[in-house]
Amino acid sequence: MSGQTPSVLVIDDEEMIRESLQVFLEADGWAVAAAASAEEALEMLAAGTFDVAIVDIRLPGISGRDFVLRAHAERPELRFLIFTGSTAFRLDAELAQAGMSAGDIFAKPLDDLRVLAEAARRVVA
Amino acid sequence: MPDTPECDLREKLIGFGEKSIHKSYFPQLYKRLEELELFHALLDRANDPIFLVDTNSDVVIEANQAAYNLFGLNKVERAWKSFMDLFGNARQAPGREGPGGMAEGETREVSHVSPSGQRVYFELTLSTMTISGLRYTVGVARDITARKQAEEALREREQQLRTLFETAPVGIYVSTGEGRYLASNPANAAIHGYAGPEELLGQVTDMARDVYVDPEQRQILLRRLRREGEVKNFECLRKKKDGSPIWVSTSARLSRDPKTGQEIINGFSIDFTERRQAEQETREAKDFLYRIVDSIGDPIFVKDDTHRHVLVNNALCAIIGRPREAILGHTDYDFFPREEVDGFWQFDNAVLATGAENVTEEELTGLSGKKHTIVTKKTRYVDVLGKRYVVGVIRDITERKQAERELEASEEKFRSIVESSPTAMYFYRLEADGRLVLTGANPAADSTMGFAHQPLLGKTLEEIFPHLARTHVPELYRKVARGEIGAQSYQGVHQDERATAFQDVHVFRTGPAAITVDILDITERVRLQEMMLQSEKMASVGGLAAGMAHEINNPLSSILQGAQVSLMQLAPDVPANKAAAEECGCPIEAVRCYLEKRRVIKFLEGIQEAGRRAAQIVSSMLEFSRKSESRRAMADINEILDKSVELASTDYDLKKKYDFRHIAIIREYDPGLPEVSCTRTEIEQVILNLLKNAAQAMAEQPPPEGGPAIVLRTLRADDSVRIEVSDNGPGMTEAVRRRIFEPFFTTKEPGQGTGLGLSVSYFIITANHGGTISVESEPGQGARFIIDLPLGERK
Repeated sequence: MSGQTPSVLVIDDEEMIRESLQVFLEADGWAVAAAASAEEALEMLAAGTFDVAIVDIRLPGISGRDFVLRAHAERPELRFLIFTGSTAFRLDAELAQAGMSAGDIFAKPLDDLRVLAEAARRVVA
Repeated sequence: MPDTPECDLREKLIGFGEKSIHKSYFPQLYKRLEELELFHALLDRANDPIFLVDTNSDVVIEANQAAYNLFGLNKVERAWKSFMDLFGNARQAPGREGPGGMAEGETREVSHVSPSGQRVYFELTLSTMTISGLRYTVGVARDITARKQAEEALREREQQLRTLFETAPVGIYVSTGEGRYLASNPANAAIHGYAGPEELLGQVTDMARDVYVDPEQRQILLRRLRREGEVKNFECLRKKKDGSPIWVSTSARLSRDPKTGQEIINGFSIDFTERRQAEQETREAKDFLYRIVDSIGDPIFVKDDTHRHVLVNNALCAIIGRPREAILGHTDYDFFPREEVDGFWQFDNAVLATGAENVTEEELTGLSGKKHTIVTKKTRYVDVLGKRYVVGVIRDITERKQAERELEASEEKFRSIVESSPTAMYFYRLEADGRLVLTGANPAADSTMGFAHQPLLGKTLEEIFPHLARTHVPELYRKVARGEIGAQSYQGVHQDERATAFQDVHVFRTGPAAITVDILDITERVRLQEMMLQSEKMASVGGLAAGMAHEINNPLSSILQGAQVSLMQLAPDVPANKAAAEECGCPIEAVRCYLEKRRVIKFLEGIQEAGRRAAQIVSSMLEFSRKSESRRAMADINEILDKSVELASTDYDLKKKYDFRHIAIIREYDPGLPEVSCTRTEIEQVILNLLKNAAQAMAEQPPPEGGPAIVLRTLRADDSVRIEVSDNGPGMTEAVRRRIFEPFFTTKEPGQGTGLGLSVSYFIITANHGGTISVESEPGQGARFIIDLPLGERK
């Protein structure tokens, strides 16, 4: 938590998705940082603090799932939402260990991004 | 008579006829008297009557005592006369004339009948003498009756023997050792072909050469005669005068002439050529009989009343395993196990006693130990002497029995094959009138076809399967039954009110005018094949869809998010938008106005809407690969069906096009249906989909007779629960039926359906529930969807 403005880190390699989400969340009242890869996100995570990270799974380099596990190891207070186009993705034990539940996984596309914003608020609260 | 000698003498002299004699002569007279007395005494002592007759007067002067004894005192004179008559008659034959007509010393046979009536024969010898000038005839009659009788008897006997000799039917002969006939009776001559004994004796000078076919035979006979003195029934072949052969049996005795020492053979010959021929014929007949009996393959025997074999044929020898000589005269105990023979004899005895024919199947163990099964037919034969025999004919049925057993076993085997065959088998017989009549069927036939064949025996093919009547099938069967064509195989479809069955039909000939129709129900196989094909196809399609979905989701996400954020950034009530617009020197309202005027907002909203629709489709496609088990629970399928019907009747989309209430919903639920582990909502989705499809299909066509109807049926299959959803709509073609579960395959108007409903249903049933879904349909015949959900826990 950084003051009353919650902060979110959006990680997605697809620029349109990453930026539209960033725009949407900012409008929704979030402090948003965006990264195009897990490596970039990990650097940003080292530099600053975030309340929640919205993670794509299929990323170049480190996968979204590995990012969650590493980020959780470094920043246990950080919460995660997974936003993926991969329909086969399921919650597993390690992710659960990282504090995730099945309701924290969202499939692309979403009709309405508010669903994601609400989820982010829920996990941060 | 006076006592004095003188007186006696006187009287005696007077007796002589003297009248007076002087005393001085007395001594002389005495002497004469003595002589006379001596003479008389002598005469009287003779046994034969003696007569002294005065030749001139033919008066009997004196006769001796024997004459008086024989003829009587007064009858001597008469007897003489009678003799003389007889004598005279006898003399009529030429003879020497003696003095006084009498032959001197002549002897004649005369006879005299004694007072007792017996004829006495004499040999009368007459002689004459002259004494003192007087001629006297002296007749001496010797009694020859006894000799005469002996002679007569001898003559008679000789006559008899001669007659015998002459007329005997056997040849009688006397021959010399060298081979010359000394005597032969006519029969012996006739045997050898000669006119009479004279011819035989005249022409046969060397018997060995002339009457023997093989001269050595006579030498054999001779040697035997010399050795044994007598030979009986020496049989050999002789030859007749004309050279033709005859069989002669000779019995002979050898003796030697006491004077010359020559060998004399007295023999008898019998021509037994005919007997020989008869014997030959008998022998041949017997041989013929034996040959026939031997040529019979069945063992034959004749046993006497003590069970001894008196006749056996080769086949019997073979079954016993001994030569004929070793069997004849023996009993069964010499060849067979005691317990078997006990049985044989029991029947022997019954047949011997009653004469009733007996036929029995028996076991017989040959000497080699080989077991035979035989059928023996025994009859009684009684010969002319009343002796009883058992005549037996054996039929060795060992091989037949073995074959029977094998046949039985084979038949049993084949019957059990037929009985236990999983394929239905119907047996038909082709009648002369061309009808194919059912003669039988196996149990599988009843279970496969769903009806018992028993009541249909004797019915025709067309009566049993009416739908075949219009087809070429009956004629095909007839051709096979007649042998005009070989076995036929084809795939048939059997349809009844309940279901369509696919069958592999194989029809083949099993005898003259007999066929077997072998039916293998391949409905399951066909369905399974179809499903496997479907499954493979769907798996690849599903994989494709899932892969596609993934790739589409990201760009879709960009589209949707981009559209949403774009619209959001144009919202006039957002302060950030307002500020940004101001910065650009254009109030947000103006921006908004411009964008609406140029319908950009509308396009953006269109992009959003289209993106959502695409997302929906992709989401549906993802059902293909989704395998969620999380919500599986035991559920009552009947209840799920009811729920689905309820959902359908309230479905807005459906109502738009067809009022579901106009469709008759017929529920044929199995009340005892077990619960199935499933995801309730998914099954509801599938059923709803099927109901919608049925309703839509029926809406497109004029309502069928009796109104549109959907039949919902549940039933318990082996290890699954079956759900059937049938409609009486237009049905579908085979081409449609084959592709109906494919994603994006649809027969609906564009925009009326995605072509994913049945694909999704397919994946829900197969992938998510491990069940099967299939459809049966024909154009105009409605459609029936069949879902099988396994009862067991899914792995």
